[in-house]
Amino acid sequence: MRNPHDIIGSYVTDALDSGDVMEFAEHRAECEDCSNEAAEFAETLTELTHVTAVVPPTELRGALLAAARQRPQLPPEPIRLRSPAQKATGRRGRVSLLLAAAAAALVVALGGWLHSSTQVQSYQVAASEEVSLLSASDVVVRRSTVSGAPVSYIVSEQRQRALVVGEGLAAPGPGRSYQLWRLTSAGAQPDALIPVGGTFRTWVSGSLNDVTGLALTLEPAGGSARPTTEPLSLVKL
Amino acid sequence: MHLVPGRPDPSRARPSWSRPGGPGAETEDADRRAQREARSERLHDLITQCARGDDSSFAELYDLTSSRIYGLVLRVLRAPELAGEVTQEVYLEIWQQCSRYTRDKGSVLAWMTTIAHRRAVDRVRAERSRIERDSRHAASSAVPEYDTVWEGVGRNLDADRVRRALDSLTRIQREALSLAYFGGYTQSQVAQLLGLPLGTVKTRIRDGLIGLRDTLGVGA
Repeated sequence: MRNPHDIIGSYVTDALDSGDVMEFAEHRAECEDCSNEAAEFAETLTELTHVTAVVPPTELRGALLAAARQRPQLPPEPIRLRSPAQKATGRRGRVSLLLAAAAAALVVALGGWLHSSTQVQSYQVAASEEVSLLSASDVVVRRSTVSGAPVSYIVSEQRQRALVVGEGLAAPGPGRSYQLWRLTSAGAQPDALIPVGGTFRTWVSGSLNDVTGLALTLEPAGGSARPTTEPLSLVKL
Repeated sequence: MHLVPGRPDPSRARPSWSRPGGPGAETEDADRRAQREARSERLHDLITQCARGDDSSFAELYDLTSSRIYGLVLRVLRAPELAGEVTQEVYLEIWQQCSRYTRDKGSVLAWMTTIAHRRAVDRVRAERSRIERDSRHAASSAVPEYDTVWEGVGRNLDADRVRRALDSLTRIQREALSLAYFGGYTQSQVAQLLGLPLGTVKTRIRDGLIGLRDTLGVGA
């Protein structure tokens, strides 16, 4: 991408092609001007919806409020890594924050999982694998959000393992699944599906050799061989 | 995101006299901005109450925003049954996520609009690829509509103001922005539809947004 600034417009209008989403997501995280401009454009587009306003059918209101009563709400975001104050603590501080966050994310994920499982033994196995990953000296955590739900990628090159944890992911919808992808020089390689339920901890199943990034997309149920949608979350390694 | 005063960008330095609306539009602008801020604060209070599980606040949030959200979803999807379904999904996501809303994510309505647009676009693309699978002819013979959205619907002061701002853009800027945002097309599809190079489309969409932002006086 020659000038990432050029595509902010396409980014905020959800019109990026998948290749560009990858580059831009990374650029935006680093570029304050882009972030500011994207935020201003989001407000501008909101103004634009004045011209398309239409009163919805009255029955929608009742149906929605009834459905909301059945729908549990997510708790406030547990960890926030990218607040300006934390940004200012510099790289060293950030790494330890990331590790703390990874541990916290795992506790949350494991806690949820443990609740629903009586397989204590397999829990111990899973936990020891996770401890092994987390204790690797080169472990990195890449945090992202999918529609506000936290999704973190915990990766160690030394251990050749990557774990993706998340909480409160919206249901994929009927006939669809969330799928992980490994990004390599040969393109995106299909990886594990994320089980339905919102809170998950899923190991990346394929080899991490030659992997430059990881991504998450919404695919037809059962997953795809090639991504059919743009990534909801994407991190570079 | 609120901390952007004085960002060096020559395109923002447009004096008020040169804005559409002409001289005298100044106080009108100020009134409108004050109104917008009051509405925005009300939405912020409501979302805070929603996060504590207050469903009557959620009902009010719906009442204050649903014509904007539903209208956008309908514009992208064009099919009222689908739009109703997706609008419900959008509001359920908002209900579920409202404790995650913070001011650094922008205004409440912008946050909600982003969620709605994303979902509507996901759905329209899924529908299009389904149609394409079902019958390749149907998709290729479908003529995209653009630049018609600005007429009809929503006759009120706000809509008129936005429509005037849209009129101040060049035709290409308006078409590119419209196809991307309301058409749910990707930038490469927009480039194909308009028969323009991709690079041109990217800059036209962005320039269009810069134009609207400055004319409407929108800050983050």
